[in-house]
Amino acid sequence: MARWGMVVDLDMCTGCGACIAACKEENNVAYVSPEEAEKGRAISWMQMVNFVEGEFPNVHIKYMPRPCMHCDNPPCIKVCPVHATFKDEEGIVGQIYERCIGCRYCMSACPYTVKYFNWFEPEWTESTIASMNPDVSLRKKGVVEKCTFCHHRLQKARDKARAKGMEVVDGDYTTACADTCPTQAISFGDLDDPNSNTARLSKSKRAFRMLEDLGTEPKVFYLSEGEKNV
Amino acid sequence: MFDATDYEDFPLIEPIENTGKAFYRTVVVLVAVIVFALFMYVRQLRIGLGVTGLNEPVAWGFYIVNFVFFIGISHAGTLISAILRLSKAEWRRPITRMAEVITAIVLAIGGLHPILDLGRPDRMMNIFQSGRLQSPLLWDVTSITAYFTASTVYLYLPLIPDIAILRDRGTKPKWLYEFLSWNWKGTEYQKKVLERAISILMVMVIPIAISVHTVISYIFSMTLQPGWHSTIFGPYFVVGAIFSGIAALLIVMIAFRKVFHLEGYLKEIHFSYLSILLLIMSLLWFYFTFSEYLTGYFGHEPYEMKVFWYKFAGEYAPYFWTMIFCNFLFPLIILSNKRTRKIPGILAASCGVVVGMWLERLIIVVPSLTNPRLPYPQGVYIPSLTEWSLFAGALSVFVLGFVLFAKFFPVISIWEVREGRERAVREVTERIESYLPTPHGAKSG
Amino acid sequence: MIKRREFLKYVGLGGAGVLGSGWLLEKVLSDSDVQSLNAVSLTKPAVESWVTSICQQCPGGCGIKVRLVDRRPVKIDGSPLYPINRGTLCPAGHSGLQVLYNPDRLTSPLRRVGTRGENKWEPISWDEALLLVQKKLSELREKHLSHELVFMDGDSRGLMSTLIRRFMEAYGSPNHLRTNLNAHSAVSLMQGGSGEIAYDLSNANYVLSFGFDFLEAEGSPIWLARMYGQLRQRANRTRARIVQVDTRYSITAAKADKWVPVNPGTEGAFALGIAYVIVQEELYDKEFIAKNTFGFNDWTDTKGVKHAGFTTLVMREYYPEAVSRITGVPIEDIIRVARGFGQERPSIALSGKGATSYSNGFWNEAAIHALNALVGNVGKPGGVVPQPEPPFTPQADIIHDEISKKGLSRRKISEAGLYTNEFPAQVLFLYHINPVFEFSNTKKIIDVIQKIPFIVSFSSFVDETSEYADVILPDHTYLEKWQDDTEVPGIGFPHVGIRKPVVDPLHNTRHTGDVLIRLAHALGGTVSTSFGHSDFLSLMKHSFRKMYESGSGSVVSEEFEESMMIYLEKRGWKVERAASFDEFWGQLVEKGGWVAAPRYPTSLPDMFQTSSGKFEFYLHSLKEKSQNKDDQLLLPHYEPPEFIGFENDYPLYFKIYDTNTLFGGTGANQEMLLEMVGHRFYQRWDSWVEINPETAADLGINHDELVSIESSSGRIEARAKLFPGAMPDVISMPVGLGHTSYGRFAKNRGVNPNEIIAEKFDSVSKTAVKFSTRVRVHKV
Ligand SMILES: Nc1nc2c(c(=O)[nH]1)N[C@H]1C(S)=C(S)[C@@H](COP(=O)(O)OP(=O)(O)OC[C@H]3O[C@@H](n4cnc5c(=O)[nH]c(N)nc54)[C@H](O)[C@@H]3O)O[C@H]1N2
Ligand SMILES: Nc1nc2c(c(=O)[nH]1)N[C@H]1C(S)=C(S)[C@@H](COP(=O)(O)OP(=O)(O)OC[C@H]3O[C@@H](n4cnc5c(=O)[nH]c(N)nc54)[C@H](O)[C@@H]3O)O[C@H]1N2
Ligand code: SF4
Ligand code: SF4
Ligand code: SF4
Ligand code: SF4
Ligand code: SF4
Ligand SMILES: [Mo]
Repeated sequence: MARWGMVVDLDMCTGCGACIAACKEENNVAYVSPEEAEKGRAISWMQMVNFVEGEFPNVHIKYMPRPCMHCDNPPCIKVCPVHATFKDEEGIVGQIYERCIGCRYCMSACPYTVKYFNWFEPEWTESTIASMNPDVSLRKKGVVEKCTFCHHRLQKARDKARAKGMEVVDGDYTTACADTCPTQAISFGDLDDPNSNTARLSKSKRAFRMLEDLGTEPKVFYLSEGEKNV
Repeated sequence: MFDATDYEDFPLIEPIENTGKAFYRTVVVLVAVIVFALFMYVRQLRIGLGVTGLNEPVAWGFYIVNFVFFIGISHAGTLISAILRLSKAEWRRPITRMAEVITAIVLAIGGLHPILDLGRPDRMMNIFQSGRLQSPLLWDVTSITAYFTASTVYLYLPLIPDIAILRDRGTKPKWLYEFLSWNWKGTEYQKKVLERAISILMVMVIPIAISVHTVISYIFSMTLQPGWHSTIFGPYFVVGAIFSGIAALLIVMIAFRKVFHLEGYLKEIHFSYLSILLLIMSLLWFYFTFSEYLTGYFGHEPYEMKVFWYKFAGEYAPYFWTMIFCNFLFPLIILSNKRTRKIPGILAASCGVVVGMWLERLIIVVPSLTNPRLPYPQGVYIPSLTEWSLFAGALSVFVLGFVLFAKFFPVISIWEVREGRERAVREVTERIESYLPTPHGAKSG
Repeated sequence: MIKRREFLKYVGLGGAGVLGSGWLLEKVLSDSDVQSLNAVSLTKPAVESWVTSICQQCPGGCGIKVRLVDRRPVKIDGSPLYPINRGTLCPAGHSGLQVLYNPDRLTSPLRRVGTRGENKWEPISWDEALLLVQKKLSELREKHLSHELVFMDGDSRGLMSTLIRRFMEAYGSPNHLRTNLNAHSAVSLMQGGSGEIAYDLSNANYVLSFGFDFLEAEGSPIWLARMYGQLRQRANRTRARIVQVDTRYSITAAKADKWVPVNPGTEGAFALGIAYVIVQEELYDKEFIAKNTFGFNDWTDTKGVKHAGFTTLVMREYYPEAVSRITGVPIEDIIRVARGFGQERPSIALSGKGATSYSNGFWNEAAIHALNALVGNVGKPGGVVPQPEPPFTPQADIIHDEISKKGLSRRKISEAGLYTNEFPAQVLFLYHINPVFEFSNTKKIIDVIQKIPFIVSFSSFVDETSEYADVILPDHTYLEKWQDDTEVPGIGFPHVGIRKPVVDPLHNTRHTGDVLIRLAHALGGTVSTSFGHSDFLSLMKHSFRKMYESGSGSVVSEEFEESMMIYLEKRGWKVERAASFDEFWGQLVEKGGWVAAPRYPTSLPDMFQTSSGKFEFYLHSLKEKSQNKDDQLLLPHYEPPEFIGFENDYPLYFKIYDTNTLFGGTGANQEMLLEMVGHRFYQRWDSWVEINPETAADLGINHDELVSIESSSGRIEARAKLFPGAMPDVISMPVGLGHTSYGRFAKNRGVNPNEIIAEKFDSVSKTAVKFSTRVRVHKV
């Protein structure tokens, strides 16, 4: 069985944000009003995180795109009182919107701050409602949502594979963010498959994970930027 | 039906039988506040939790703060009363009832708070349908339910003889007392059963109470968040709970003493004893606070330190230092000095502690969330009108609960006071004599 | 009296009540709309299809494939076949459906009923609208004032550009003003030709970029990002070095190996300082210099007059101490960069708007481009290469009548003319352009626009400039129209993208190309006969015939890798796979594009179309233009940039930059892009200004506080972001927000820095430059 994971090569990533946009479009992520966004209620399953070091002129800023880490040891699911967030057998940490009671415990418990809450009933404007992805269910007021590793794509791939009597393997499915990345900085695949490029990259010397020492065992790896010297 | 002996404790019955205008006025004001709060809650239900000041990353605010706070206050009652009963502290007699009432009311209020906080209260039943036992939130539901059940029963049982007194006096509404008195006749058998029940409950209730607040602390400490992930949170929360509970009890006692003219029942000595207990708890609280932050500081884990400085010198510094003042310095100064350890001083110190303990809950819940580990901009949390209204509503429910209770039931246990008068001196003397060392170390017979 | 039994009953009832109200709550809380939408989409088996096309959210020219469910477009992805983007997209590419479905789109032609700028309109029919415009145009021609038709064109290339040019020529006006060009005017004088160049980044080893923000907003953003990816992690190659010379820690600077902050406008001096070290240490390509360049060493002309060469000038004036003083770059850095550039070849010097958008921009670019010649990196892999055009069938000649001949003989007005009060326009056409928002000193622009008697806008939205129009003839959005997309800046190989309707037009809009053809036909006479095609699509089909016949290149496909095709073509193969033009057309439309191998010049003189036939350090053609020029003024040299606003009053430099979300301003009507506009500054839906923390401390400004920015042209307010990547005396702000029109999402969000940019023009090329404004900042 596959264990899905992601590798983001920070040396290649240009911080362009295409992954952010692709994710919003793919997953029917709602827009909140500017006033609400200002209060910190915008929803962005993929988000850019900046690590700023130094001062002018020796400043260095690292930009890291951050989806859900799909931790193998996820602190978020341990606390959910109703099994509304769970880890499936392929390692994807999912959300059951119809069961979530909106206690936001998982939000408080996620060290990566990747969970988002629907503070209001999402208001879809004409321009967004028309372009809804029919494969992804819409979330309602009062529930938590987050990156699902584009789970609906996995389901489709599974259906296809099953029709052929096979299992889903590395390369059968990829996420919207990985698909769109102009520099191909994001690679997505089966971390347990020895032939998988993603698995290979995740074992590279440059590979690290966010807040690794927490023991959450994220399945999103980053490859560090190259040596800077001129 | 008039029983002359009841004149003896008439001050305890008077407020039940002669309802003054003040009662109605108070009720109207409180109900108004509660209705407004209800309105705001319904509005929140309709619109969504967006009407609060919560956001990403500050997902929890007033509702959770007040939840922890109210549940903490609830420890005043049953726990203190049980400990006092268990230790056969004779001075407990006029106090236990009030303490128990606090528990029952405040626990109900506190227990409702997580529901106020839910995005989908309509799906509350999911907790039973698909409950996940590993979640501290589920432990909470269980332990709070248990505590609530135990403490209402624990309040009710010692109330039965008093209800019977009212029934026998023919106090209105008759049906109420008739119904609730459970046919109490005061027979020896009934007395024995009652006493048995009380003593079983008082032993049971102590671990339940301790578990309740320990489990609440687990909500936080079971996560990895900086400022939360701490092993001493269990005892720390329990100590804080008892601490705030005693303070609340003192305030309630002082209030009733004044309003119902109970100077004859609640004497300086009661306040003195309780306030010394308060002082001890203050020192204990400080000890825990100190160790909590000192270990955090020495660990010097960067994320931990972000939260640490946020509290010590950052945006939450005003609250933090007010808390230290209210919970430690102020009670220490007032209560360790005999001259200020008088009712006004005790009242001031208790109020300080209640405020301080509320601040402590705020300081535990919010700063850890405003300072996420990843370098997002610092979160901002400004509670909204809705949250303030519901806070005011909760406080009003508390006061209203008390006012209504006092309207129908004696706030001091009449029969226990009487029993005290009849038996206490003899029993205590016997007891003391029993453990006084005998002269020349002779073995007692 | 209630019995206990009864009491229990009540408890039971109460419990049921609680549960019941829970059910009620569920009813109150759940949103039936959302549920039904889910239900619909999940129950009905949907028909899914994909259509390829070309994005037009920016000039980047990426191939897209649109996912349709039951013929309703629901998602845009990159087309994996298309060579520019290979299946990838940028944020704006993704938000394209928010253009298509935008609630503020125009649904029919409009005639203004309010005063100008009041935004009051009445819908009219196309016939009515066209008649109105045609009458105005006829009148103008009758009065022999055809040159007073001005066509401002912000986004045309390929056949649309040809069509507009044709329309203007046939009509008789030289005033086709295009802004969508980061024109390389110095390059065109040094190399000859149009100056259209491409940088072959993927093969370079050392990339020295002067204000060329290629990871955010240059040319074709995705193409450049992909090139960057290859510079970073490419098989069997060393990791290339990138140096970004910028006045701001742009994303390009962040991803570069080194960021060199320079004093604004002094890039030319920095480049010449590098040239000094390269010459001094003899790191230059001697063979290339000797064979292919002119004016490197001192020379004597035919009249026997001695002229100083580039080396002489550089060695005399641009020694590191002097350059360090001008640019503020430490001497060690100048030397280190110069050595890297000289040694780690192929190395390439890029110039972007950051270096050229100054009064001295022409000379900055010349100095920078001289570096490419120094290392002999012109016309080679990993260097500066020509930007070839695809083979198009030419159209029949334009027939001029007397009126148009006369009109065309008039002097073309310049952008600078816009700021003088004698801007000679009677009729103004606006196509993909929004001067009232995008040009410097917007107040003055409004004054000029106000005075133009008749304005026609082709915009799909009412933008700031269209508010002043008399008639709006709304164009289709790019997802509803036929168009070719060629000449994408910087791609370096010939390509044609096919933009085609992915849905039938949602509203009563028309292709501007069709409208122009119709207008021309309605005008009659030679104007009409110059247009042999009935509509734009047939013009496209006609033009592509040569592509088919030439047999070069190929329709993009799964089977052919670019490199494979290049390999084959170089060996004289023709990748021909269609049996007839119709088949070719069918393939083209289905796959979405055509590409051919890059054409490196077979011999360098082919590339240099100058009078000397060589790369010119010494600009002969400039000499021809203005006779009495000093030698050193015809060689790449440094001129101090001119700024508007005295240092004492306005102590800070004001910089603006394009973002990859708002694209100058067009993206501002899309929620997606507004929400993520400042995703690297944690800022959504609003403008910000980047200020160095120390500068801010001196001014008493805190993070996220509102500040006022004042120049001699005006004052705006924006939220301050304390940013260690800001130079102490330079503040920067993104362009694109601050619309006062352009639909509900764009309107009144953030501020438009163009309001306070003073107008300024390049001293040589006379194009508008944007970075010459000084400002003062204080807390509000
Ligand atoms: N301060 C500052 N000013 C600048 C620049 C800068 O860097 N800084 N850059 C300059 C440069 S290089 C450029 S290229 C210009 C860019 O400036 P403009 O050429 O003005 O480009 P946009 O702002 O993108 O405006 C394009 C307009 O086209 C309209 N439009 C949108 N979709 C369609 C469509 O499908 N069909 C038609 N016909 N119209 C449509 C919209 O109304 C939009 O307002 O700005 C220049 N001005
Ligand atoms: N994503 C995206 N791509 C685009 C566009 C877009 O809007 N968005 N627009 C297209 C168009 S029409 C054009 S013209 C091009 C324009 O693309 P660019 O030429 O990149 O234009 P800008 O972003 O205005 O400025 C480039 C850089 O110059 C820096 N800079 C400013 N002042 C100075 C200075 O004094 N010295 C130096 N060294 N650097 C300075 C800025 O900080 C910025 O990083 O991009 C095209 N591509
Ligand atoms: S799309 Fe790719 S390059 Fe762009 S920000 Fe995301 S990971 Fe980085
Ligand atoms: S990143 Fe957060 S939400 Fe995702 S699995 Fe880990 S703990 Fe859970
Ligand atoms: S918010 Fe929903 S998913 Fe998260 S812990 Fe609560 S019930 Fe579980
Ligand atoms: S994996 Fe899918 S859901 Fe997760 S960030 Fe990427 S696009 Fe969004
Ligand atoms: S770079 Fe330009 S053309 Fe390419 S997807 Fe983005 S907006 Fe569209
Ligand atoms: Mo441009």
